[in-house]
Amino acid sequence: MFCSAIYTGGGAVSEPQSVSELLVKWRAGDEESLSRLVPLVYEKLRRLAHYHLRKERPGHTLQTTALVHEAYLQLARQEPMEFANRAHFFAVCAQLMREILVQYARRRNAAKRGGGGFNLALDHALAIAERRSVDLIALDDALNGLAKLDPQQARIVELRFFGGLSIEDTSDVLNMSPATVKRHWMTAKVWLHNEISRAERHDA
Amino acid sequence: MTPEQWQNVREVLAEALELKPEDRLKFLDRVCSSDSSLRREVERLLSSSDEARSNFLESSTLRVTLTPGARLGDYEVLGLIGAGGMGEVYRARDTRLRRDVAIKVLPSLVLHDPERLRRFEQEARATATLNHPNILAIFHMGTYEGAPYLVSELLDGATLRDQLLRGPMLVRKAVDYSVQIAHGLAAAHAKGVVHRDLKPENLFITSEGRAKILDFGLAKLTQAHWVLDGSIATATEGTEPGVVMGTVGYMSPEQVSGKPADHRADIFSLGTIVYEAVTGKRAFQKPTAVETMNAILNEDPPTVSQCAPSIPLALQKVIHRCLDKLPEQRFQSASDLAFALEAASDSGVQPTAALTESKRPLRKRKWLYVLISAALVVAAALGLLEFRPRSSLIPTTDWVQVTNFTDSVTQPAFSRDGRMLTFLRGNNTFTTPGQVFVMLLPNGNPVRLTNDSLAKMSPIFSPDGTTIAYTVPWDTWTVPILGGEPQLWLPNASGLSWVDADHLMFSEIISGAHMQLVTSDLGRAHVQSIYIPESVSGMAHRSYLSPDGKWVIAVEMTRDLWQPCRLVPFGSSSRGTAIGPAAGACTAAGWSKDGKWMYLNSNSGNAFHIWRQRFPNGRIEQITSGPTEEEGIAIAPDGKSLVTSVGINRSAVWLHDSHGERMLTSEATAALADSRNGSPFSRDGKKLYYVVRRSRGQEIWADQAVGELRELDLRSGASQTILPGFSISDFSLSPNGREIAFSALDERGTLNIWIAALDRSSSPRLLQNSAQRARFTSDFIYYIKRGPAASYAYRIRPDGSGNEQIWHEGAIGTVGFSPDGLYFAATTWPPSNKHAQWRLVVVDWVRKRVQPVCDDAVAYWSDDGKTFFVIAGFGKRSANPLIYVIRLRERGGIPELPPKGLSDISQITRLTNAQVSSVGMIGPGPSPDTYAYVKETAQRNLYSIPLN
Repeated sequence: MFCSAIYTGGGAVSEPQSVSELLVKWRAGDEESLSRLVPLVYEKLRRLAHYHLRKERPGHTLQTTALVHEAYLQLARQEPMEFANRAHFFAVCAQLMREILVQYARRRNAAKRGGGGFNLALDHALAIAERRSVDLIALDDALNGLAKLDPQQARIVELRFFGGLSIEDTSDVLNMSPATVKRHWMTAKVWLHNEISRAERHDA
Repeated sequence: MTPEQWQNVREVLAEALELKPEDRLKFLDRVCSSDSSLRREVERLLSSSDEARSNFLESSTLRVTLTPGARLGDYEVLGLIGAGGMGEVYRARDTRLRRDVAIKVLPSLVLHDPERLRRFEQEARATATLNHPNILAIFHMGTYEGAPYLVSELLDGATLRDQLLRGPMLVRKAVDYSVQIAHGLAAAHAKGVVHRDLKPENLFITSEGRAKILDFGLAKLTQAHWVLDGSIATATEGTEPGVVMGTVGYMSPEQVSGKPADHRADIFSLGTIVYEAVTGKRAFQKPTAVETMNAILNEDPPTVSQCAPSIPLALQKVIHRCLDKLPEQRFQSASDLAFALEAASDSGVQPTAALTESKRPLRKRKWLYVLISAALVVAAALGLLEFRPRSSLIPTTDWVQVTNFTDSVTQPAFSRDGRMLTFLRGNNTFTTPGQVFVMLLPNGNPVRLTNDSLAKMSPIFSPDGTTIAYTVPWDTWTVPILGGEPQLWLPNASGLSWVDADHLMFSEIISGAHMQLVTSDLGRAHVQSIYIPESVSGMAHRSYLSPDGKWVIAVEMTRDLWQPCRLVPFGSSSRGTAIGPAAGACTAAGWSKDGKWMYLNSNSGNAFHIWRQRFPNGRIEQITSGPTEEEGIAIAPDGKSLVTSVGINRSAVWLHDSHGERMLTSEATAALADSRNGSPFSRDGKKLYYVVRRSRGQEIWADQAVGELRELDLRSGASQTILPGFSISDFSLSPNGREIAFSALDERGTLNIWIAALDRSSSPRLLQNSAQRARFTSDFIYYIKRGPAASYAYRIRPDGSGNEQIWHEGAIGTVGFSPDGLYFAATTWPPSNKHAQWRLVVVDWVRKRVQPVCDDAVAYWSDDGKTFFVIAGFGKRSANPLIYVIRLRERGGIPELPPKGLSDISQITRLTNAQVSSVGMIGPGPSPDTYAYVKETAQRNLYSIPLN
C-alpha cells in the first residue's frame, strides 16, 4: 500500500518493489535499490517525525530511536520483512533521520531570525532535544567535516546516534568487526566533541 | 588535517583512550617522539576531560545495567529480579540498615528529558512521604551514571494479576483488598498524588494478605502521546492533559479521551479492578485496544449481576458507581469508596459466593516485587498500531494536526493551489452557527472572516482564491478572504461549487423540502438539472464533481435522515446509484486526484468515519477508525492527503428547575426523544424518559434522537432501559401514566407505532405500521402517517379499533397534537412570495379551522395543555431561535393570534414575556419552570491524513 503510493506517480519507475526486496538487493551490493528505498522510508520517517514533533509538548522529547522503531514496525506490518534486515533498515533510517532533524533545526533557526512563522510546539520540542544532547546543526556540520577525513567514521556516528544501532548492529551493517566499530566510534566522538566545542567558543 | 593525518592521529588516540588519563602523557611521549605535530593534535583532542565527553552522543543508546556486587551508595546489588519496559529491578542489600531492598533503574528512554525527570522525582518524593501500609514504601532515589533509580521495600507475594489468573476471587477477599487499596489511594490523593495507571499488575498482595499499590508516579513518566492527544486535549490547553497510557482496559473515560484526569480516574480504575475481581471478567475488554477505548467511552459493561448473580446488590451498586463515565457521578473520594465498600460487605456476603472461589489452592510463588509494568513510551504507541484491525486503515500516527482550536471546527476545503484551507468554526457538521475561517498552510494562524449569528455550511474557495462562498440556509453568501462584509450572492442556491471558471454547481429548492442539484453559468442562466431526489422531501445538500468533470457524488438527506451518497453522471439528469457502505449515512465526499477512488464520509454503524470506494462500483474500504469521528473531506489538490475534522461528540440531558440546572445523564449519547407529543417526564414528575442513541447516526439534530429508551429516577439518579430492543424516536405517555405509545424504527428503517405497559406487565403490541408521532389521549392515540409528499393526521383507539384519518389536507410535517388531540400544529408551504422555508399553523380539525402561527417555527403543547411553546427566530435567520412560552386561557386550545399569524417579534412578545434561552428543543416538565433539554458538546480539530 505504502509502496504503491510512492510509485503510482512515478511513471518511469519500473515495478513497485517492497522495502524488503529492496533491502535484500541493497545488501547484495545493488546501490540502485538504496536510491529507491530512501524515498519510501523517508516519507514514513518524515511523517512520523512531523507527527511527533507536532505532538510535542513541554516535558516531552523526540526520540529518534523510537521513531525509527516505529517506522520499522509500521512497514513490517505492511509487508513481512526478514528479521535479518532490521539493522539494515535502521541504517537507512539513520541517514534520513539525520536529514529530517537537522532540517527541522535549521528551519527553526531561520524562523527565529526571520521572526515567527514556525510552529511553537516544534520549537520547544527541539529546544529540549538539543538541551539533552547536542546542537543538531553543529553536529551536522561537524559530521560533514568528519566525513571528509573518514566517511566510514561519520557513517558509524550516524548509525549509532541517529539510527540507535548498537555496536554489533553497526558492525553487521558496515561489515566490520565490532572492535573496529568501537574504536572508530570512540575516536570519532572525541574528534566531534572537540570540533563542536571549538565552534561554540568561536561563536561566543 | 588530511585524511592520512587523521588516520595516524586516530590510531594513537584510540590507544590513548584505552589508558587511564594519568598514563596517557607517558604513552604519547613514547609513540610520538618523532612527530611533534601528531602529538600536539592528539593532546588537543584529549584536552577535554573524559567526563565532559562521557554522555556525548550516547543518549540514544545508553542503557544502564548493574552486575552483582555493584554498589550504589549504601546499596550493594545482589542480583537481577526482573526487567521490562520500564527498566531493570535488582535485589540489593542496604549495608547500613542491613535489610534487603529492591532497586529499580530506569531505562535510558526516560533520561533525556530533565523536565520529565524532575516531575518524576517530585512524584517519587511525594510518594516517599506517604508512608502508608498500602503503598509500596520508597526509601531512596538517586542517580547512577546518569540513570535515575529508586530504592523500595522488597515484597513477598504475588500481584493481583497473578491471583486473578485463577478466576474470580472470594467476594470477601476481593472487598478486603479493595478497601485496603482505597485507603492507600485516599492517603495518596490527600497529598495530591494520583496514580493514573491502576491495574491488577500494579497491585501487589503480600503473603500476609496486605494489598500494596505499586508504581506511583511512574504512570506520568511513561505516558505516551498519540493521536487522541492532539485532537482532544486541545480543549484544555495548559493543563498538561492528553496522556493516554499503555494499558487501556483500566483507564478512565477522561484518560481515554485525553482530558485531564484527577483522583477520580483512580476511582474508576479501581472500579474496573473490583469488577474483574468479583466477576472474573474484565469490565472493558474488546479484541482491539481501540475498540476497548471506545467501550470505555461509550458502553456500560455488563452488570455485575449478569456475570456473577450472587454478588450482594450493595456491592454491585458500589462497583457500577465507580464505573460511571462522568467523574462527578462517581465516588468523589477514595475514602468514601472505602467506606461504601466496607458497608457493602457488612450488608451480607451471601454464602453462595464462596462457590466462586477457585478450588485450586493458590500456588505459592515467591515474588519479588517488580516495579515495572507500564509500557514504554514507544510500546504504548506501537501497541495501538499492532491492534489496528484492517490494513486499509491509515495509522493515526500518520495524521497531522492542522488546527488547534479548543472547541470545534468542521467542513474543511482547500484552495485550488492547496496553500490555503477554509473551514467553519462551529459545533455542527451540517448547518452550524459559527464563523468562516481561512488559514495558510501548513502552520499559519487561522483568520476569522465573518462575525454574525447566521447558520452556515460548506465554505469553499472561489477559483481565483480571493473569495469564500458559503451556504446560509439555503442561499449562497460570499466573503473576501482579505476581509470585508459578507454578502448574499445567490438566493436559493446552497452547497455551491465551481465546475470551472464560468460554471457553477449548486442545490436549489424546487418546492417545499425538495432540493435538486443543478449546474448553471455564473449569471445563473442556462440552469440544467443534474440530480433530482426521488422523494419530494429529498434534499441534495452537497455535491462533488469528479476530476474529469463527468461524474458527481451527491449527498442527500431525506426526511431529516442522511442517505447513502449517490454517484450520478454530470450533465444528464439521472437517479444514479447509491455508493459507499450499505445504508450508510453519507455527509461528505471527495475524489482522488486520478478519479479512481471516491472518498466518502459515512456512518454505517455507530460513528462517522472515512471510507473509500473504487470508482464506479468497486471495493469499499474503511480508511479511518477509532474512538474519534471524522467528518468532512477536503482532498488536497496534489492528491496526497485529505483534511478532515477529527473529534468526539457527546450529548447529555440536562434538567432545568427551580434549583437551577444540572446534568442528568452520563451516557455519551444521551438525548431526548421527540418531545412534541408529550412530556419526557412521568405524570408524577418523578421520572424522566430519555434515549441513548445507539448510533450517532442518521439523525441530524440531538432533539431528533433515535435510540433505546431509558427511565431515570430523578431522586436517586438511577436509570434503566425500559423497552430493550426498540429504537425509539418519539413516545407519549397515557393520561393515567401507566402505558406508553411509541414509534420505533424497524430493520427497514420504517417507523411503526407500538403500545406497551410501563410496568412491563405485558409485552409491547404493534398498533400501526408506517406511523409516528403518537399522542396518547384518554380515548384515542393520535398520530401521523407520512406519504411521499406530505403527512396526514389520523387517530386510533388504544385497542386498535376506530382507525380514521382526521384531516385530509397534507402538511409538510405534522409537528404535534394537543394533549386532548383536538388540535395539531403542522408545517405547511409558505406563500410563494415569502422567503420562508415553511409556515407553522395550528389546525382545529373539529371546527375545520386553520390558524397561521408564524414562519419557520415549531410549536407544541405542554402535557397539561396550559402552555404553548413556540420556537422561532422571526425572520432574523438567527442561528439560535428562541423558545417562547405562551400561557393558554383554555386548555389545549390555541393562543389568540392575529388572523394572518405573527409576522414580527413584537407581536409575540405582546403575548408572552416568558422566554427560555436558546437551548434548542426542550422537554417540558410538570411545572412551567421545569424542563429537560439536550446539551451537545463537540471537540473537533482538522487533521491531515496521508493517502496511499
